[in-house]
Amino acid sequence: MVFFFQNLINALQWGSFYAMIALGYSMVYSILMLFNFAHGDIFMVGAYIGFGVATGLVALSASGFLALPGWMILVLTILLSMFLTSFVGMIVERVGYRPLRDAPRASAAITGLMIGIMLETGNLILLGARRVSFPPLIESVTYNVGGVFVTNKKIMIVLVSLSFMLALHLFVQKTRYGMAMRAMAFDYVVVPLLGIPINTIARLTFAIGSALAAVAGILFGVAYPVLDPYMGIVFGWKAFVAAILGGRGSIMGATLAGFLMGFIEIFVAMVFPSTLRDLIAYSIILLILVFRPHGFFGEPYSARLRL
Amino acid sequence: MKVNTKMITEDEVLVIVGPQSSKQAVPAGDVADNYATPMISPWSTNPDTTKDRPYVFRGCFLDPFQGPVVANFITNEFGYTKAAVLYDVASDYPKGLAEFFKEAWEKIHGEGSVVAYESFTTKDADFSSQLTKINQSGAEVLFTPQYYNEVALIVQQAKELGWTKPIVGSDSWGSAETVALCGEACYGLFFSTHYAAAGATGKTKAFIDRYKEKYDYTPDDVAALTWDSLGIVETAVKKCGKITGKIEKDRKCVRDAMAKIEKYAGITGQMTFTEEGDPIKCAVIVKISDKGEYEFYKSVCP
Amino acid sequence: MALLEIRHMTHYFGGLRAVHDYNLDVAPGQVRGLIGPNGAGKTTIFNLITGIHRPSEGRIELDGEEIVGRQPHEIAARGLGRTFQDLRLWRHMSVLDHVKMARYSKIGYGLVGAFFGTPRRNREEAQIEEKARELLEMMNVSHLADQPVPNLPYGAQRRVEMARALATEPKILFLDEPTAGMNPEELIQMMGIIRTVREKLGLAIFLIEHRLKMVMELCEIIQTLVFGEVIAEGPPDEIKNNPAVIEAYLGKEIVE
Ligand SMILES: Nc1ncnc2c1ncn2[C@@H]1O[C@H](COP(=O)(O)OP(=O)(O)OP(=O)(O)O)[C@@H](O)[C@H]1O
Ligand SMILES: [Mg+2]
Repeated sequence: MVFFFQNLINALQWGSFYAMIALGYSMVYSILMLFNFAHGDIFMVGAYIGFGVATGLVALSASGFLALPGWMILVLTILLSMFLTSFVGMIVERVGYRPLRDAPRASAAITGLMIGIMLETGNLILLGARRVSFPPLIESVTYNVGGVFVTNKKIMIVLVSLSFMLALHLFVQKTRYGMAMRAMAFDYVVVPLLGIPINTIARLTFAIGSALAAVAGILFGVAYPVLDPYMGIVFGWKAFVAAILGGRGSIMGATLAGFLMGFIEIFVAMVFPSTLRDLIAYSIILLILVFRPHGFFGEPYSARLRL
Repeated sequence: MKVNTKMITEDEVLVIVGPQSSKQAVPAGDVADNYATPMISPWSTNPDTTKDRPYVFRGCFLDPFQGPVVANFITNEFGYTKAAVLYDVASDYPKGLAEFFKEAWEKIHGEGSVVAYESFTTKDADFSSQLTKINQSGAEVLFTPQYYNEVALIVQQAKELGWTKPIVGSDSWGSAETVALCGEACYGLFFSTHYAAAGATGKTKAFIDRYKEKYDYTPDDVAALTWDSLGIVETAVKKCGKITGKIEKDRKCVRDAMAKIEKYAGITGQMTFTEEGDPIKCAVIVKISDKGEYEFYKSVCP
Repeated sequence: MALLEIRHMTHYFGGLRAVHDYNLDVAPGQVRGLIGPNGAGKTTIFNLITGIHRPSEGRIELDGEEIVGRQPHEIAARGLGRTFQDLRLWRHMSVLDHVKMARYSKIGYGLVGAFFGTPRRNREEAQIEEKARELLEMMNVSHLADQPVPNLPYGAQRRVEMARALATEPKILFLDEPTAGMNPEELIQMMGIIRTVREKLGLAIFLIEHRLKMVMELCEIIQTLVFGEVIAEGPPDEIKNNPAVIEAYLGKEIVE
């Protein structure tokens, strides 16, 4: 039982990363019908921006100029990095995708891969191949709850990511921007005819997805404090699988599927030899997709792009 | 390669010390062996360098050798009987070493004494499920022959999951980055390697001091192993006595003398060559000190 | 001054000349009709004016301003609303949300408001909802406000689409076959609504229709389009008796 709960806690943390990244894929897909394959690398960039901001703030704090407690630095790091990373997303959209809006989808997908490679190598050139370690902003405290070990970091990560996901949900359901995103997800053509500029909505979607990826990147840095320029690749693919599993374009779906993937990975490793983890975990996911080809919340519609 | 052939045929060298890395040492060994010229590579760890080449030797131990070394060290030092292993199944070095350790450990403590044998894949960052299993398995020690970035993550996550027992590594830990990334979580842990500058005594210390005086920095393991290789060659040449001038005969004599050397007392430990030309020597166990330095802890022989 | 003025508009899809030398003047409050056989280019004319396609040649002025080359959302914001021949609703959204969505171009709260729920946002959201419900009332669908659109009968869906177009407060409304596929009962209701819209809101209407009877009843001036060219233009009586029109619709709904 203890064993089970320990894994449950582990899976919650792990799944929250998948969920946050999957959301970015899903949002962009839903409004532009394209998978932004650079998203995993935007996550990486977000983590590095977070690293830069955090390191700067720590130095500032250490210099005595502006003594801040660790949690305050973390909050500031998250907010600042979200802001900065959202610009990365908007630039990617403007430079990489908008010129290809009417190109075949395959070209746009390739663009994503290329931008990803550019971001990776850009990082390599900028910082070198050395792995950097994310500064420990909050003192790690481990609680032993009847044999289940929980750290304050884990609790914080799960809570912070859940609240960002909730905020996104409210944004999409309750505001004019979110409503426009949902409308655009179903019918791309009607939205501008109501006087709403789709480029603004597209840019906003990229910005929000990227800001969320930055949150994920920073929390990732807190949990796994070794960053490397290629950290977003496999992770991005897996989150992409979660986005598909959730149902393309579904926010609720991406969130649930992200957590589910975390649970599957962790619990498969609990039961089977860890060497077989991904093999078994992804066979299960494949099986789910065979029975639910549109994912959990995906509608079997193909969006109407033509008049 | 060409250089090697030229050295042998034109410059008529008696014996070659080098090259260092396996990439050059493997083909260079081929040339040396073909021309029946003794060669010793101080630092090449690839088995092929010396394999089926009577004229080729090396100054360091092979990767597999660290398996039994660590198994012995843990057994003697702590008296544990149940071990866990966590390794990267997608990378040759950790995978090989994990297997050698398991084999050696189970030879000492019997079948099933490696109570958790868990793996992950390169680039994984979350080891919580493996570590939870390891925690659950009742293992008393964790062996993880990983590189510095993974070491940091594994050690930190293990601590956060309530692991308080020792974690032991191999020479891949020996980068300054390990402690830089891992921080205090790694203090007090052990790993096996070729040589440790900090805390060295006797002959080794004397070498380090002289080296420092001359070059103004601490010699690394390559320097130390090269020093020992040169010493071995010197011993062999002296044993042969007079150089006859007949190069083929002299080369054969040196080779035989090297093969016969027993318990050569080098600064990286005592060495005797196997039939393959690989040294049987002791490894060094390093302890990461409370200041994050790599301190010589003890020498362990297989 | 005409509200909408089009001169010499021509459009090619690759080699296909879909529209040729098209001219139009719509005065404020006027109801105009556009008829023609299938594939004549009627919907294409709507698409050209609303900015979905850019005409190969010609000028379009809306409310005194050249709009060729403008983005669809800019043109819409200048006072042009439309519905679609094939009913383009958002299946996953409620009736009320459709109309609210269309109001959003009319309000100003920004991202800060969206993220943090400022009083301004709350006030504007409340206004939007009130306005939306008024429109639904006018369209006879207010009792269905919270239903997702696929739950509605076909005629009601058409009226929701119309409410959505009206929510942007257009000066001119484009209706692309608003009664296509309707049963007689729904048809009568739709005609009533078009009249109401015109009387109550006083906006100009540009109507594409296949049902000639309806066009004749509603429109002041009617154009007949065949193969992208206007072959006849005039008041209903004139069009009804034009031999070219009769030929184009030979044996068809003319007697309906
Ligand atoms: N996006 C497009 N690309 C290429 N050709 C098009 C496009 N849209 C319409 N067409 C062609 O232009 C011609 C006119 O089509 P349009 O839809 O305007 O006719 P319509 O008069 O509205 O007919 P209907 O009564 O069937 O609605 C047709 O031949 C059609 O195939
Ligand atoms: Mg049409």
